[in-house]
Amino acid sequence: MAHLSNENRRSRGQLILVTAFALAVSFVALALVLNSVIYTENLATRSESAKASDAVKVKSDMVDGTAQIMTYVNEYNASEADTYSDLVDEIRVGVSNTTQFAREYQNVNGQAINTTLVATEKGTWINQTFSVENKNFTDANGDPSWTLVNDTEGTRRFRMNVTDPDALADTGDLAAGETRSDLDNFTVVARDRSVSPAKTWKMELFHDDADLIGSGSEYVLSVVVDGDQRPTCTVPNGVEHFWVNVSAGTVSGEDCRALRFAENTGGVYDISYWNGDKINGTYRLMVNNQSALDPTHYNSTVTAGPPVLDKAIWGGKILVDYEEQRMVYETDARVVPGESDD
Amino acid sequence: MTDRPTNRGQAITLNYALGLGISVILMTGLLITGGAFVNDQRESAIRTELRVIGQQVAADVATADRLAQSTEDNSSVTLERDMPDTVAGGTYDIEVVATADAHLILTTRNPDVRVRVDLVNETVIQETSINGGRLRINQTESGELELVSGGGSG
Repeated sequence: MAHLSNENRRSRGQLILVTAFALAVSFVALALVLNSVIYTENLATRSESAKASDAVKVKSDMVDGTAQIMTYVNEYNASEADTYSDLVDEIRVGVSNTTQFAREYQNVNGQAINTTLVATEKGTWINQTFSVENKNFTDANGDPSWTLVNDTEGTRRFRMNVTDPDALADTGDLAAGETRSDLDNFTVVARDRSVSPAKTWKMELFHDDADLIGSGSEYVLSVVVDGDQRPTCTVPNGVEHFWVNVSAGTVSGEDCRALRFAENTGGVYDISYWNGDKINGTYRLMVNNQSALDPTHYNSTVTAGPPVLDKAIWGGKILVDYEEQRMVYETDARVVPGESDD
Repeated sequence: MTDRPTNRGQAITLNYALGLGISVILMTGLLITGGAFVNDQRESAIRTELRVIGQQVAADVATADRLAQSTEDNSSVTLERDMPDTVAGGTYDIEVVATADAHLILTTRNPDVRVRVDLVNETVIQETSINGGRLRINQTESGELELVSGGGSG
């Protein structure tokens, strides 16, 4: 008991001491609590434990790399490949090499990656780019109006080189008619038959030699979409040759705004040439549906001359596996170099 | 002036009782306010900690969500995270409320503190409740996200 009287001066204030002690203890406890707050708040200043961006970057890098490998194999190995599996093997080797290189880099950061090719989609080059200077765009039987492919689901890298512009029909007839008999000029037609009436996209190439449409006697490219005439693009008279990049929408290297291949069609369409005897040159395009090609239009060997069909890889699928200490990320990724150009 | 006793006219007992009473009142007041202050501080400390932890978990869910969104077929996403086992000396629970407005509820008992942190997710997250500490966010086979307690693989 605390003694407060004068008789016991030396033990005075015990109550205050006990209270002060109790308060001190509770403040020490408070200090401990606040300390743990400091630790937790420290968490807030840290960046996220696992960086999602790294995983997604690795995936997209591997997709890009595989796409480049596919493009290379399609560009340089297609004509030599006897079977699709030859091409697939080449791509598989490429993917495995790329993974090996990437792995060495990523290991430094404590990241483990693995990529494997799990599937490929077949494609076909339609090719008239070899051993010809001045061949017209007829099929293997000499038929000037023919269908290159039925029901293709995509077209890529469609380019033609008009090696002899003067072989183009000399006409100013800008016929926007729907049928073949209306047209005298070389025409590329994409037709979507899945709807009625069928949607058509037409590109005519001709020489306005007599300046009938006021082009200044130039070579004219005219696009008609479902009967709707688009502004024409022209190439100056007298050039030795010019390129039409149908997929990229350029004519002789210049951007042609009217040229957007098969812009009005749905996902599936036919590609035909009309009046293929009214143009001389080379062309090549890749389509992704090889079963819809009629082999009678093509020569079976290169020695028989163009056009021929070459095997190609349209696209594929890779499995990307990415791991780091606190994260596992695994996914399939579709690889289609350039996708479809329509 | 002659010396006189200063406690003249007072009973010793009364003097003692008065002194003791005043001291007790003073000390009790100090203890009560001090205790309340400490309790307040503790509660607000817990609230701060839960909010930080909640936001960290929400950030991890958002990361897992972004990853899940970037996957195609045959995908698997796992993210692991170490959170404190306790806040201010007590354990806590994390509850995922998977309504249209998905959010986390972090709670402690004694004192009862409840903190809500909103989630931003495109992928559906499964409703669950786990203890605080090390946790994992998985993508399930159905493509949804789930919050699981504990680390390790699988």
